[in-house]
Amino acid sequence: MIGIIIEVVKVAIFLLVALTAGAILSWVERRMSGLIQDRLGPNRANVVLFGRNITLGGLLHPVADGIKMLFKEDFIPDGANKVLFVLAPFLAMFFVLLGFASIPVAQNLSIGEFVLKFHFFDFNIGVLYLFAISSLSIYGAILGGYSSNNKWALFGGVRAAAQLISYETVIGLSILSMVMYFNTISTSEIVSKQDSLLFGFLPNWGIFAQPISFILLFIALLAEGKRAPFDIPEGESEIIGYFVEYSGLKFAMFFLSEFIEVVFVGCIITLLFLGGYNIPYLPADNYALAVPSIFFITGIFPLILSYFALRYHRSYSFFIILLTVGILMLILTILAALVPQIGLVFEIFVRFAQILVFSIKTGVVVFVMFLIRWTLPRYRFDQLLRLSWQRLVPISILNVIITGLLIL
Amino acid sequence: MKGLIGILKGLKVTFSHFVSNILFGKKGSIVTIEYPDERLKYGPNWRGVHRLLLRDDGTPRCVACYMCQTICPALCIKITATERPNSHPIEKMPAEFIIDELRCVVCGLCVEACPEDAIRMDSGRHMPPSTDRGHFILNSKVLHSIKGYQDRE
Repeated sequence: MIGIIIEVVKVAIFLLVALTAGAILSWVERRMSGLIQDRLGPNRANVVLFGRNITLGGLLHPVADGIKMLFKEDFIPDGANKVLFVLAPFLAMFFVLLGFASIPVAQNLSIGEFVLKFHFFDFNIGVLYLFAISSLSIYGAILGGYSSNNKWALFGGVRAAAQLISYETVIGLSILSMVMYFNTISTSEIVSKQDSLLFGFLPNWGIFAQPISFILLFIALLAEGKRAPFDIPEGESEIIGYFVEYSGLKFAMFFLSEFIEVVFVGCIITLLFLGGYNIPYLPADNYALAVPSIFFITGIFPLILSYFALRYHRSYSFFIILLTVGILMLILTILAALVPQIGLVFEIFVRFAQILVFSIKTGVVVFVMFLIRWTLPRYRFDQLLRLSWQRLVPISILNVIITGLLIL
Repeated sequence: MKGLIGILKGLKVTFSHFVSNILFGKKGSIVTIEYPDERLKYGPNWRGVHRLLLRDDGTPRCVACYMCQTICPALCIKITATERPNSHPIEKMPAEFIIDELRCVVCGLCVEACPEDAIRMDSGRHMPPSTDRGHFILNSKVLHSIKGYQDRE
């Protein structure tokens, strides 16, 4: 019984975090594109509280967007396949959310006899599950484009399908070399195997052990997540994309699922190549130093940023938020340094630090993905296919062969 | 491989812009002016609503010579001349000086033509919007009351 309750709570927390992250990322992307292009980005949506305009630096824009989409007409075009048309955004969202199930964000925590797991399913075939689900997520795009009774939407769906087929091969082959290197396809085992040191001075992360595989998988996952420079299924300037006929909350679901997929890709990269929740140079049995230092770094960083927020942006809300986060993390640092090294309290601290490390790594990957989006122009369709079949697939096959020879 | 290095170089450019802008805001390379909250200052040569100047003794500088009315390409100035009261050394002054700001093309020729430096366009303000055409027809009383750009600072 208590197990079921805990699972439900975990699902609730996950949904809350994932959907909020999706909404916040839509703001991050817009503000970030502005800053990269020497603009300001959206910063004007406001509420008036106590006679002051609260804008939170534009963080209210997702809220305003949500309210707007809630009240828009839910339009179904003439001649559309109604069942598939309604089903498509749900499928897009569903598969993306499902993918997170086998991503461990921290080590298991045993309280007496009970074991609290920080992921939903601990498959022994977790990696296969991850990539099976991430391929299924394209069904939202294909069905949405197919059922809209719109030629541009159909184009978008067909492009999404062609793109998926080309890049699925690369994903499979680069995963193969990763699996050969780590000799396991369980996600939690892959993470725990990245704990040691490589050549004595590098963390044994996938990115250092399999750099070619990392680059290939990163490119292929960008394509699979329909992110720029591979966003031709939704190329705004040529075809509007597979969701051209969608409006209101159905469109919002497509929009949100895209951003959640970005987080999902970030999680996969973190899991396979950036050591998951492992703290570099500090192995899992020596957390006495690692936990306070992680808390300290994550506390100092917001404090420095809060100075810049106040000094150069005049943003009091961000100053207060960053200052609070920084001070809380510094308090946690002191607490983590003071509590005894064994026992449940310290274990909880360790799990918290691991979740923190995992989210920071995921955040960095997501940041790089956004940066790539605002740096590179979109590939043309033939260039996209040529890149996959003529460049990435041969390299990945070669990579598998070389990895196999090295392991033998 | 060469392509990857090119991509990294591009990422370096965008990343440096991002970092400098997120840290330093408008002290970085952002040049945005958030219009309703911040406004650009107009330069001293900016031509706005006309104004008429007064002499030191409080009488209008204008001597009703009709130079501005003659040169105006939009025919928006209408002067009615009259004699000055008592024995002022200058004989003429405008009884009424009317500018139709809706017809004005803001060319500044009236300012150039004026021999007495009586009319200027340095008020530093736009004609405020209105739904009544009458509001745009300014008489000499209004024109004399408008302050100059430098005076308003």
